[in-house]
Amino acid sequence: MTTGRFVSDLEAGDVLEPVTYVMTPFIAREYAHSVEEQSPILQGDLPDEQLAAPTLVHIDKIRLLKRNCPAGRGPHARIHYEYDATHHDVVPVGERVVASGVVAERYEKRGREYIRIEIELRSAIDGRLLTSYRDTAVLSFAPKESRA
Amino acid sequence: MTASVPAGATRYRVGDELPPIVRRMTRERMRWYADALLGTSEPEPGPMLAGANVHTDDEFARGEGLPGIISDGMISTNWISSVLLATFGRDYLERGQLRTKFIRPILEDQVISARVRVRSVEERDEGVSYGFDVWCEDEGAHMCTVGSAELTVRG
Repeated sequence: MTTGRFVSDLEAGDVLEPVTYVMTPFIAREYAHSVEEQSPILQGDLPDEQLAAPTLVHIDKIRLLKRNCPAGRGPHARIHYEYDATHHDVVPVGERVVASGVVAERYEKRGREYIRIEIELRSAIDGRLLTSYRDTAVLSFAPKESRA
Repeated sequence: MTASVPAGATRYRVGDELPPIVRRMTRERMRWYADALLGTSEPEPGPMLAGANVHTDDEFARGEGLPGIISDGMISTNWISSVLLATFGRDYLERGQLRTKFIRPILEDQVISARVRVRSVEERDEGVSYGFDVWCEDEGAHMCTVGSAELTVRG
């Protein structure tokens, strides 16, 4: 199932097909590397525990968009505008998790179109809520009148 | 003027500022995130070289109305997150909240300071709850990323 061919097709109310995956040591470590986060608990340098950075929930948005909008972004580059995450519990490496999302709002402000997606990351084992996330992006940086 | 709080201190006051992270936003740093975003969002680890986008390709970025490549907002967000993690560790990971808004594009070679300042302190049964103002600014003190954070340090 796909929700829209392009991300730019998404509308308020669209429910994104969830994505289930295992939070691997590679994902947690590679993401931490990419932002120079050297914490041993994220890098996997502690003997008995490795956790994922809470900001990794941004990647869940990417996973959901890849699954639901296989043709890509649409006519213009999408630019991230707002990140809003609440951590309800840690995300341990090895945990099977499921990311779900709904398009909460699509609106226009000063000639630019914005899209807000609300995402939840839960344990796939017991349904426990791990992270809730609101992501707002601009669908085109250049305002409509300058593209005319 | 804000007070500087040494690492390891257990109680903070309104106005205290945590040790900042100061880094130059290089082309490489933008590339690292763009590639990781690709490599960590696939079902299995695979090629990790992001194609042309507003974070990797100047010509592409200019075609979108930008002056050149810009940083992914999640880089500055992660630097703020690192400041919180370095000070509060698991308390931030377990019960934290972080909100950031990207109000000004961060361009190549700008020197960016990720800063966190205590906005509120509240004693609760479960511990001490902190509210923070968070932001990233360039070398000219122009705000690029602004937001807030909350967490509770268990007593």
